[in-house]
Amino acid sequence: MYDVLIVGSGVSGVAAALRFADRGLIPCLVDVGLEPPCEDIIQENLYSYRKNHDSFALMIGENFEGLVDLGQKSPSVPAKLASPWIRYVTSHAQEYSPTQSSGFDVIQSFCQGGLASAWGAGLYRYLDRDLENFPIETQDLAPYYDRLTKEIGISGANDDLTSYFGRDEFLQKPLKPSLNASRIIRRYAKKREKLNAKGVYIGRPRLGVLSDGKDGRKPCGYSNLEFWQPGLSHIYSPVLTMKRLIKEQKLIYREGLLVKSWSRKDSALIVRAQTVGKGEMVDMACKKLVLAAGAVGSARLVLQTKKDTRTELDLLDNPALQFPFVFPSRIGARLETDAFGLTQLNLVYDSQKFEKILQGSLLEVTSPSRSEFFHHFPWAAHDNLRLIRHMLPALIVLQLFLPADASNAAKLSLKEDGSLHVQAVKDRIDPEIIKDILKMFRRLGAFSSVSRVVHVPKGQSIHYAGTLPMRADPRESFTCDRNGELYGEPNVFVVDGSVFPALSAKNYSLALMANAMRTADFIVEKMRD
Amino acid sequence: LDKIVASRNMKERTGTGITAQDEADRIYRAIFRKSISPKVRDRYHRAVDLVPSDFSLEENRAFAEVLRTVSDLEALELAARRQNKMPLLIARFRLMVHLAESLPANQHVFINSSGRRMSGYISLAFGSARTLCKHLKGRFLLRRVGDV
Repeated sequence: MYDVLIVGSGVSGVAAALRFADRGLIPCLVDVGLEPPCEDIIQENLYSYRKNHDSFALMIGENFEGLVDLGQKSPSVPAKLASPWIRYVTSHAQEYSPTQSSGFDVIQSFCQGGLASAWGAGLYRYLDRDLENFPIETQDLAPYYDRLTKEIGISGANDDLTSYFGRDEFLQKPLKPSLNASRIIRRYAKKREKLNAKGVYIGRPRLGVLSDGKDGRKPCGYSNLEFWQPGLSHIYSPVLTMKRLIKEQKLIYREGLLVKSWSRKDSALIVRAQTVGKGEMVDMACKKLVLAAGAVGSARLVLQTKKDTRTELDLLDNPALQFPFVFPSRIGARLETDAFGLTQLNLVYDSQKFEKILQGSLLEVTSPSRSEFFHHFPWAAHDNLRLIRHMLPALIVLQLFLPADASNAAKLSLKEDGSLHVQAVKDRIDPEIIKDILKMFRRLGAFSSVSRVVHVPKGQSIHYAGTLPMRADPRESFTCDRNGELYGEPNVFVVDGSVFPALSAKNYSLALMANAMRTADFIVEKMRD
Repeated sequence: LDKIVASRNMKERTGTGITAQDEADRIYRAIFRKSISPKVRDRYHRAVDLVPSDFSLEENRAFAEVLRTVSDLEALELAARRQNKMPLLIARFRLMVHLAESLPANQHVFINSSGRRMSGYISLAFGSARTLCKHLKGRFLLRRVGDV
């Protein structure tokens, strides 16, 4: 019998495992554990590789797997997850967790590290203002933030955004900004007072991306391979921590198992899983069960265990808008081929006009294929190639996230045939937000128009939460107490996004990890008692 | 395998006399204003067979008919894209652009490594005027194809 059995190797599951290991307890972690098809194959910059090699295998795939969306009328996977060598992150999802959805793209992962194997690595501290409607406060999570910063290696700066992100004394220096980002930094510095008066703050992002080497991992080489090559050592993945714990014999890892349900026998929990491939059923006994299969995966497990096909659970995801901004003075410039291909800057919009704080990430567009922009440009095909060549070096994209709570949650339920069904509610985004953002960027010398703003399809922010929310005083099934223990299910704990009853506009990954560690601490104390 | 066979059968059944080779040549020329390389043509051919498709037999037939009757595919694709029509034509254009980008010989088409800004502005000014003409022509073609 295991003392603790964790389901899922994403950020939450591995953070819980890390805390158990810190406290001298060896948990067993179970997951399907799909692995990448390759690692570290390309050792040079994306653009020098493309210049010298046929990049068909890298960008399209021998079986055209990178172009699957082109055969579909409504593409349902973000570009990064469609790339041939990163597709493994979401492969077999329909097989292991059949899902039908209406207006909501449900993206699930069954690989080692979960969706964090293809993430943007944004790691921000949830503070009290982010924890409204939570039965916990910043001080409950604070002890774990520094431990995580040291474990992960987070780059960033204590700057104008510190009051929103929290002070962090253990940050690595921020990554080198791109030319477009540098332009924004300079303009922001000149107009800081006016912009701050309107509630606009800009600063460096907090990223799980190394600017200095750490534990044998290389610093960011600005290779632009973020969209293409799995296992880049400068980007943190929970797999790194998991492998270290396994090597140090602080974690038992059982892969190739798809957990289906649990039952009880005497004081033990019996977890039933199916072996991947053979389909045989395996039973594992444990004292404490920790669900970290993601907000969708953990909800499925609970619904399956309870054989409940009636209950509809809330499923939250941050609504998001994408703004493409052009710097006219950079049109026709040489493409900057050694920029970091993900988040360059963060923006916080804290205006009294809106109830909640909005947060955005300014993304450089050097990592995706150039063809990815072809259908976004409005000109004739041959002229769109001109835009790709001359306009893309001048382009930066703002991905603006909005908060989510029960009022704009999708509904998730289990059907009789064992599939999940997710029904979205349409977001109502205040058009004033779009106008304000366009106006503030004009001040920064970047231009766009309302017609170019894209509403990100529901579900594609992939910040899923709220299916099994924590409450101060839970009195109904499918809710947890403040320590993540599921109501009516003693010794079953939930540590992933399921327990977050609301999402601020801030990326929640670091808060998830800190909360998972907090629950792990509670479990250790409970076991000692 | 079923999808591959279905896709091949679909092409044979359209019965318009347009071969996959003709299709690739014409789409490539419409986008890049030059002849297609054998490698891209072969990959296009294989992609059409291998990429699972949501498009119906009717849509495939209409697409083949367009290839047979319309000479300026670029203009038609522009108008279709602007009006959210003919998704198969748009998807095939996108497919061709992705395939072309993977070849080292085409990198200069997609990546500006010279940084000559004035030529960039001139190119874009010419492109905007050209797009305007193509759009007008495309709208006319789209109406005509609609009538067919």
